[in-house]
Amino acid sequence: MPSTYEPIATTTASGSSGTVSFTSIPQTYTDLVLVMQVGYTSGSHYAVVRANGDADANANYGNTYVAGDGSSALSGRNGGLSGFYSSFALLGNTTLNFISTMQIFNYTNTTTFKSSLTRANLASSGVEAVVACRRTDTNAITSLEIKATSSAVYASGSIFSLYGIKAA
Amino acid sequence: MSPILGIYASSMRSGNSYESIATVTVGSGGASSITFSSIPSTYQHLQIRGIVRSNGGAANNPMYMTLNSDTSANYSWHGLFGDGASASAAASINQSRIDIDRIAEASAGSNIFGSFVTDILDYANTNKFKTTRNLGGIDQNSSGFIFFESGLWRNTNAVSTISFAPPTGSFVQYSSFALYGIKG
Repeated sequence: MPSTYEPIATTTASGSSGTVSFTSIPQTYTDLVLVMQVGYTSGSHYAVVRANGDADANANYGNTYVAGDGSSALSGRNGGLSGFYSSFALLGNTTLNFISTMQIFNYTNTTTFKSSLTRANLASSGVEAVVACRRTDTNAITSLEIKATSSAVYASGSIFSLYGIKAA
Repeated sequence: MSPILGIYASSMRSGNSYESIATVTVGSGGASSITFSSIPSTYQHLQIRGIVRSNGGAANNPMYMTLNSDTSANYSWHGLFGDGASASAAASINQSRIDIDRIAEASAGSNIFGSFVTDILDYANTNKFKTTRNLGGIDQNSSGFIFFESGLWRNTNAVSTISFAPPTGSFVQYSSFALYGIKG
């Protein structure tokens, strides 16, 4: 049986950009796992994970989340999004305490819309799980761009790691 | 396609901490259930990852997981879920299976599948009941569902067979189940 949980690439932010890209993602795995520990140089923001160069106009993502904020549980959903969100109830802030693990399933198949499951935590705010679907097309995912909302900049030390899991 | 998939220890390769054991991708004929059998006891934990859709049901329901073909009332589960409007908790005891929420069914939009990751911890230990955890969900634009869940199988036998079935109908083509072993 193959070794199957392998690192593909890692990027560490220098504090000057709000965009991280993984391009030419190998098509040899079954699922992708994107692990992030993120902060911003100012303000509170989301990290939006866009596939295959999707832009704001590609508003064909939706998500449903459940979260706990320390005092209550909540759920919501959103349509017309431009990417998989690393969270939706939790906003990352200037600390590096926001962590997110996103599973992107069967990213190389060309017959289904692509879905993701994410668990996110922000120690100061709460925990969250998100399911999301990209309905733009059924193309295989070959690139991912993790873009901070509102032109924010990732704080130095923010880290983004992409892994591949290969099924037998 | 055959709903039964056998896995044999002799085919395993050692030296990796996370290994692929077997995968079932449903073909054009669909499948009423899928089973991983003869699972080797050489790992510490198991993980099953997949995308799932069935042709039954008007709504989107859980699929069912059974261990070692036990369909007696030896299972229970607890869950926290969100339906896009509110968060809720639910539980069920003395069940004949563990529910894995939720898969896409006939009412879901084209090309939309539910997804899930299920872990079975210390599955080969013969001194304790078996526990599972699941994260799963589906978003289909107009609605969605996300589920955190723990499960219990009140049996000390090592898990050697895992079966999944939709609540009604059959799994449709491109549904995929991948079983992995994690070494301790």
